[in-house]
Amino acid sequence: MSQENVELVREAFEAFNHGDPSFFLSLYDADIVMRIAPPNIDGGTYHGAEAVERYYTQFFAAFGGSYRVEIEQVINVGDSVLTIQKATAKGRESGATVQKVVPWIVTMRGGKIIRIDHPASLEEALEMVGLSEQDVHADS
Amino acid sequence: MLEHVLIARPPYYGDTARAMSEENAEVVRRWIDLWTRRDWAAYEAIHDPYVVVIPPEGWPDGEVSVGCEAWIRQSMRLKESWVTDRNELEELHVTGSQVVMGARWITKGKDSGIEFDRTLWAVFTLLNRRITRIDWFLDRSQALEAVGLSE
Repeated sequence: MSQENVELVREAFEAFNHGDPSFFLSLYDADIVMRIAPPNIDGGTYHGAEAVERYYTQFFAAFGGSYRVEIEQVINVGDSVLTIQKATAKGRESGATVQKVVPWIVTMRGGKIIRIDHPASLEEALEMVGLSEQDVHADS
Repeated sequence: MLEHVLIARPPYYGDTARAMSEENAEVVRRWIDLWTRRDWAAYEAIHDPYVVVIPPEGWPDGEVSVGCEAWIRQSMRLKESWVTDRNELEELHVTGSQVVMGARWITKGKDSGIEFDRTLWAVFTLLNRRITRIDWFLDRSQALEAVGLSE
């Protein structure tokens, strides 16, 4: 199941990078919960597929379709998947390119995403899944 | 853009996966004990601060609890009508990070003295030994089905 979860996440990001976020939408459980840890934009807890979708729609709109994700690492942790991503985007008005390493954790059940975590930092992400930086770099 | 996907390390294979399953099962056993003893401080410690709890379909006054504070408030409220109440574990199934629990909830009404004894089912989702989500069911088969198991 863990490997299936990794594959689903990978496929979802591929679709997203090709301008199709609907693959992600199809994976949301009706009672999905998303936690955005400050200082990420609009930090808080979002419950339900509609609320999560609304958040992402508004977030990506700020970059006018330029937001792209390059996955650097994918780590299975039980039914959760930690991805470490390099996100690149251009500000819609400023035109400035922004690049940031973003940790992202999804928890899945029965092929559906039941939870998304946007931790404040890589350290927090690793702590959440019970790993250390050494674990991440051990085999990479 | 996805030039490479590196599976850095699958940390939970073999013995480690078994150890994780046992740890998760132990957290759920502890959950039952803490619930019964109303030890809310220890109860809080085994939940993720952003835990989500989904009540069983059709449960009277059932509402989704988002966040540990809300869930503890709801837990206290659920128990305040009973002069005594306890949970007795009947079944436990572990699959990945999910634990299916079947437990009898045995209660006695504070005012009425009426006894209530029914088995409830829950699917616990855990991450790093903390409960991140609980889905409640009135029906065993629904709980098993939720994690891809059959009767």
